[in-house]
Amino acid sequence: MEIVRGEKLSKYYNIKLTTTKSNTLTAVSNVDVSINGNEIFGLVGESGSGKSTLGRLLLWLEKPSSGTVSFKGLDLAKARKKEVKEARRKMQVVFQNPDSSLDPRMKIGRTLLEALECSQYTGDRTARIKEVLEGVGLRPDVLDMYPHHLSGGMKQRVAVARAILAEPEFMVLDEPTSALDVSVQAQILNLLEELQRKLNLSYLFISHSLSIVSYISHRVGVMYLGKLVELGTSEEVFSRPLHPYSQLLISSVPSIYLPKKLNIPKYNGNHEHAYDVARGCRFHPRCPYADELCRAEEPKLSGDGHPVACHHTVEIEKKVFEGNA
Amino acid sequence: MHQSKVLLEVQNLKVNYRFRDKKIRAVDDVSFSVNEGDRFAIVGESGSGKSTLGLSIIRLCPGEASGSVRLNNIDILKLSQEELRKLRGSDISVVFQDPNSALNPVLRVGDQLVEVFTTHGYSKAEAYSRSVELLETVGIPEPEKRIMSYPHQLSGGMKQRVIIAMAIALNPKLVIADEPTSALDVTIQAQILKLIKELSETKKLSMILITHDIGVAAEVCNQIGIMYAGRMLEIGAFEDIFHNPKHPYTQSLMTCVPKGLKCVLKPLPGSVPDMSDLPSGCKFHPRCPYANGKCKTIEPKLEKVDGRYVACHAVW
Amino acid sequence: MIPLIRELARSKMVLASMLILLSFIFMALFADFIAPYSPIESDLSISNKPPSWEHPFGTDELGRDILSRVIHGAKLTLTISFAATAIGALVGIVVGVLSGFYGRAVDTITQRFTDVLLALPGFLLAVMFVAIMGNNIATVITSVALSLVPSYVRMSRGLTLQVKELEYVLAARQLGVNSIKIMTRHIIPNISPTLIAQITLNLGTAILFASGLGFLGIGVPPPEPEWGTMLGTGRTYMFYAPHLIIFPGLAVFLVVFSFNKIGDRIGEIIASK
Repeated sequence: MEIVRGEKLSKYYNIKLTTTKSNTLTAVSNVDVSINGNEIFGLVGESGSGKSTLGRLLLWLEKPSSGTVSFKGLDLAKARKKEVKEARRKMQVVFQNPDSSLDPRMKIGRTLLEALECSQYTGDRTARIKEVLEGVGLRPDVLDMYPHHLSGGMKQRVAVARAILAEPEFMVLDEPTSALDVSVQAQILNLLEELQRKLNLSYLFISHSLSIVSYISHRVGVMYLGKLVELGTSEEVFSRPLHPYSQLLISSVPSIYLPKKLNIPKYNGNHEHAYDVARGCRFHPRCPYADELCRAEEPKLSGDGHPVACHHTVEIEKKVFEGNA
Repeated sequence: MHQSKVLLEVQNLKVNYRFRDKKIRAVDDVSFSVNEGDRFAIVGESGSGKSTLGLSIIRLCPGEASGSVRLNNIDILKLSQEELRKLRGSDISVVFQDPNSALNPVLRVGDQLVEVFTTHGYSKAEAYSRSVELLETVGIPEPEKRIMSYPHQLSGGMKQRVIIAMAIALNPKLVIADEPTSALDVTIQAQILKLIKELSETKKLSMILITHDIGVAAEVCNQIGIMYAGRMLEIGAFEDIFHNPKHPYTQSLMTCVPKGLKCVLKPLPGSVPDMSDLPSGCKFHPRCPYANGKCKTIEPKLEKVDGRYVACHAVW
Repeated sequence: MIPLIRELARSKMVLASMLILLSFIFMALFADFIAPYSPIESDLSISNKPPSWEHPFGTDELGRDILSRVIHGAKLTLTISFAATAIGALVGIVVGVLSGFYGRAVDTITQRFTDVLLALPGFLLAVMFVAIMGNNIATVITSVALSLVPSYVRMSRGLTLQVKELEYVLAARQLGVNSIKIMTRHIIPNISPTLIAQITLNLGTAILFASGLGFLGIGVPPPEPEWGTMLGTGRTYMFYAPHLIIFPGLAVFLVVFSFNKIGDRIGEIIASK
């Protein structure tokens, strides 16, 4: 059962260079994504991939330049203000930076109360806040403290508690553990997993860390320069990546995190992220399999079950997984 | 197995800071050695003191340092400013984390590279030709063109390559790299780590790699030291420690990291201690599943166990 | 609040400034009791007399005791200063925050308007307003307040733009907290520290503007013992009866200096956090 859907989502930013000249930055380009109930959808990509922006578009925190976002079938662009507000309340978010996630001038208790007030909960508020605090592994004495009294991990737990108090059905987790120490990351990951199971939530888990995404996600999407290039189950994408970018990405991860080694050729290391690709596939400057077709025509995400946006999926799959590179 | 000569010997290094009336022991009695050809990883989380340790080796850190840091038997902590200046760049060099702030944005890349040579006595002409060669060595295409670029015209990975070029320019004996890839994307990180390892092997450079990421350390290093709250808890060969960690903290670091689809994460409770308010005895005892009475009062010293050094009372 | 005061009191200069201000505030509150003479009763027979035991600050051109006028002047000056700054800051901050938060059309209009006002130096704006409204205590307060508004609009708009993209504001928006609550609960408390530093400095600026207007003869009109007006009229007698301008001048200097010292220090403390 689908809970959030983005169709043909694009987001452009106009950056003013001078009074007359401006550059268009494409953060997200024509992305179709659908997240089901009770599932963790992992979104991976490097800097400039547009994964954070896509998260914000789905939350309706930012309006797309084109395309639609629907929550349980409701088109958020066409809905009434009240309906949009209700839908957004059911889609909550946990951000990356624990230091700016919480209002530094508000006590934790007040921050959490604000979240609870926005929900439809009608019972005893104090009890409910304490219940959720316990659920995220915090003691009630944090209620009286300010954010700067808490460690990074504790602040992230408060951010999670705040999201849970709103009684969401869907949560966007934008690099929730990237700013934390390794030992604390594991605690938060386990907490998020537990909450998802207990409360039957759906997650969009955004991260640049492939090891974390492969660990926690059911389904995974790979983004490159604003486009979704591969989509599949965690098992499919990480064990048998089909897009050359996914293959490069997975091979680049230090081997202790993803032990399976792929047989891939040398990629063109001179271009990092070519933002100025005017035509064709965005990845072609770096791709060892690129040819005239790739330079002329942008591939669409296609294929059942494990869709890939590439013109040469079949040959590449043969080369990489069946021996001859 | 050949016997390597000891290149760097750190003994009882202590580095203290004053921070708002509190004395912080950022590095607390650390001893280790790096042999010629070794790539030694100093791994720790935030507040472990790893950066302070690395930078104190060439006295780039504020705070008072005591103990000894001997490079080929010369105690760096006792050198004069002039001698220290000669040492930096030519015997020991540093690669910093942020490629954006390590390069001067208003100077061309070539000028900065040439400067490394000219401050150590080379002529401008010679410095220039060596610089072009260096850029080629670190994998920058069209080096004669790129040498005229400004930093903002280069990508993150290219900038880091330039910084690495600056670090190896004078063929130093030891390169200290402080989180050299943390600011880079994963695909670029892989390239840079590969470059660092290759350069170290071909130019016979020894290395100290400071990082919070064990994966990064695994790609490059053969020796590892685990730091926590200013102390070294376990030191030894990377393979040994990775497959058979003895210190409880090291053990949990190894199980804390997701390794693919089927692993189970066993996190440590609590978090890294506040450096101005450290626990007594073993600094790790509040989070340790094996802590006993002795751990709370007596700080364990590094002892040789099973081919590596471990500081723990409960080691068996 | 209390830890702030303690922190301020660490610097001797700032501590001295606070004590100076407290004495002037005391003077202002108890003027009727501490002033030896009436500030407006004149006695031409003792005009322009230099400082003496009966008149420690001397007398002015109409024979009024300068000490009493300075003491009563404190009440006037501090009232104008606090009122003008309060009104100017309030209006400026409200406009700035709304403009920064809502953006788009509202923002463009207010910013162009502010651009025009900021093109003129603050004091000239004050002169302009007084020229339009005429001069009495009320118009002086209003004019000084209005001349302070543009910089508050700019400052609070800029701060609002920074804060509104922070994650805790985004989280509140996602929860469905309404805009007014977001501005009052999250934005204003977080931009206050910088604004408070600015307000403290402006308390001094307001005094300079008000006394500047008085000096030019277009401020609070006589016989009110406004320090600036006293400076203006005393200027004629400057060379042979300097005490007419020394004491009011010193009073202005001490109060403005103290506000500046404290405001600077608050700014430093904010910046270091």
